Amino acid sequence: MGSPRKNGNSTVLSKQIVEGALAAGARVESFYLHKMKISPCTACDKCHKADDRFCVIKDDMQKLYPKIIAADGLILASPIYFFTVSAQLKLFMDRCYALGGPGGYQFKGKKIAIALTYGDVDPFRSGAVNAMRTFQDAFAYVEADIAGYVYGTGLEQGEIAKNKALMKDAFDLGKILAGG
Amino acid sequence: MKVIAIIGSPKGMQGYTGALVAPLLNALQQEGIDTDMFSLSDLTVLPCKGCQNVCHVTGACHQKDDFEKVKQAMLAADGIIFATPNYTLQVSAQMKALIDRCNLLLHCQQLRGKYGAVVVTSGGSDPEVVVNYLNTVMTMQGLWRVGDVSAVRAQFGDDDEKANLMKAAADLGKRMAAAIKNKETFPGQDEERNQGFEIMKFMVMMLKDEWPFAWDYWNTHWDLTE
Repeated sequence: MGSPRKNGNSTVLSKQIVEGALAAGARVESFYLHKMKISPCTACDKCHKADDRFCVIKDDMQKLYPKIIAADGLILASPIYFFTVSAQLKLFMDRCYALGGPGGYQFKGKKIAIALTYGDVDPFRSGAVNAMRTFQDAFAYVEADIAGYVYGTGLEQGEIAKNKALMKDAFDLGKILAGG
Repeated sequence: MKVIAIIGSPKGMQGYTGALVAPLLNALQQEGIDTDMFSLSDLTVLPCKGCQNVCHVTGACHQKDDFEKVKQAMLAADGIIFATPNYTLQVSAQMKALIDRCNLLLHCQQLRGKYGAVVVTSGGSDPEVVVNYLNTVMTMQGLWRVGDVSAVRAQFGDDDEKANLMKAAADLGKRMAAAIKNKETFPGQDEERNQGFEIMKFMVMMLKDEWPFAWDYWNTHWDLTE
């Protein structure tokens, strides 16, 4: 979850995906990126050398790498800041470079669900389309499958919960993610 | 007259992104423009915390890091170069953190009328998607886009292509210097720029009670009746 707010709209929306996945029998663990210490990638490229395929930066990303590798699916959530994902989620995404190497990326075959929220009126003006374009191409590159997107408007903290149709879509996306 | 370059590469001026920024800055200097460079890898600019918009109330972010220094340099400059490598088909996280912190600058259109240029380098994929994103970031803030220069890593390995890139970067520097000196406008960008202006105006008018600094800024800098 890439919102700096604990109960931000993107978090609320992603929790519905979690509920759907749980209902379909999946086990789910949640991580709030803003509360974790994740430094920027330094482009040292050590992770892509054949003899050392892990990131040398010792921070909270080290907790996430094994979780990502072990997971069958990932839910990513972000508010739209400045026409794309938040810097918090971007820090995480850049560091996922370390999950690649000569044999491809550890994302291969995993299913991805994405929740995006924004203050503006639609996905075009808000720039959510930029985030979706990035996810579409980046996850295709690492051979992961995007199970679906949910996105909507919410400015006041948590107000997205009032959008019942969207909350149902998010729940259903969770079920799809879990293979239900 | 001054142009600053903001570099989102972890390698600062030593990487491919820096290699394209250098001739651009040189060309500007040759045209008599002062330049300065802010490498985000040498600075601490934390992500926006999504607080209840303290910056819109007081005019400054409460996070005590290097952002304020970069912000003051942006406000004082005539031109800004946004330079970043392409990471996951977007700007680097370092650059994204800086951009997210420009939230108040965007809503107040504080960079409106300045001149912007973009530099993007990419490992293999087309850098265009990142150039387009940074163009949006500039246009929505009301900067005039002078141009961009981008490259994939392999081009640096070919002497002819590398020479062409260096020339393209220097040409962009010359165009930027001319645009600043002649106070050029780019009518083709008006529609998009004005759209950004109207969106931000609407937002600030709607939230004027919660955003006293932003509301006051609009009242003293822009015509709210437009």
